[in-house]
Amino acid sequence: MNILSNSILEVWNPLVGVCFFLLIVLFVYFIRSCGEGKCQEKTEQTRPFFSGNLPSQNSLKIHKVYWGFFEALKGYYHRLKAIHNGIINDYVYWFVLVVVIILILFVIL
Amino acid sequence: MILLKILLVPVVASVSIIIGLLYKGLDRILTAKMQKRVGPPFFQPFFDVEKLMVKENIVPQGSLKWLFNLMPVIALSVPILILLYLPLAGAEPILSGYGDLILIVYLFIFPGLALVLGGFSANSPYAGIGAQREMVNMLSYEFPLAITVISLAWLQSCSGIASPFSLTVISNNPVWGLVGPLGSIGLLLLFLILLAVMAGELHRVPFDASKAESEIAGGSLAEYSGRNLALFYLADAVKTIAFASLLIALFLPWNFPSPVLNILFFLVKLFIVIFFSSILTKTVMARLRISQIVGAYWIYATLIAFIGLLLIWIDTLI
Repeated sequence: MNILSNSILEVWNPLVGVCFFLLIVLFVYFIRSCGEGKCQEKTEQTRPFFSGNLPSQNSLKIHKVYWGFFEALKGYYHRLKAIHNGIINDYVYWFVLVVVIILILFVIL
Repeated sequence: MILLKILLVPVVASVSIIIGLLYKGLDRILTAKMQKRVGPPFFQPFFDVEKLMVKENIVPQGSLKWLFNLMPVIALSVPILILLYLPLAGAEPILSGYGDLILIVYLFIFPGLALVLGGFSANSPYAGIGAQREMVNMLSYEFPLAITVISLAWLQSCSGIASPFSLTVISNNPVWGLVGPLGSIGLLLLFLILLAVMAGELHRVPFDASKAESEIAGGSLAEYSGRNLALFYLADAVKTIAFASLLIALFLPWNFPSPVLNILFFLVKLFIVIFFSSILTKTVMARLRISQIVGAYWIYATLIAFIGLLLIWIDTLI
């Protein structure tokens, strides 16, 4: 069996994609190897940039790591949390409603 | 045949990098002129890459070194892979038949993911915030992108065309010829949405909150330097060409019989797409907050995309 062949129906062949991706990675590594690889380790320049706010003064708690993510989407979380009231009947009603809408669209389209 | 395709890989990679950097230079000059500045030299992006390659490759203390160093390679490799699936300058895609539009949309997630993982691996609060914003950015523009892609494939399928997700098939059957006046308006709306998605994908103003230099010191790229930063810089250039080529394949696929004219026409089309999605928007608009970006894509862009789909659907009924 020719693992690199594609069918008349033009189905994906992920092996081909992976093989070519590996080739490209080799090429990119070659470009990368043309650059300077060294740096002076464990000096001031390798310390992360904190802009004067040192970690001992304002340490980030682990549960706040995704603060930015939740803050950006809080308008939608606020509404979604209100919908999720924990009553199983309401979840079933939503499920039925969505299935009905999908079926209607399926029939129309 | 497969050997020829393998030999074409470094050619496509090199040409795409060079053309990407040239368009970056053009981008900077035109932006400067529109802002009444002189601007850098045309080949400034090449000088920038050259400079970055000779700088030290600093890996921050406490970072996940293997992930930190791997992500720039992924960020550049995937857009080059995407170009192999796209019809460029009227030519058949190199990997034609081995992947389709769905795969390309899926592959476009990876450069953003590389930025996210690179940012989280850097052990830096600025990079962490930039990575979070990039995740939100990706979540936002995927929805209108999916609607646009599905709409085009559905239109092809309704017109009785087999393999509606194949880029070769879409390029050979321009969508504008499949619709009437109402459908053309719908397609125009979808085209505009894809231009907006391209601006978000490439982190251009107003959708550059994840890379806000003046706010979060470059976001995910805050701790990158030297050759790693050079690879991200090249990745940005190649991704611009890749996404613009996708737009051209979907909406502007017309070609000439002559290969030379095709190449020139393709470069003109690239310029038009990049001008309207990147250069013009960057000059006339200010940066949106990350919550505004979510609203812009999830509400306004999605609504407009749905209206476009509706118009196309009504056109098929008439």
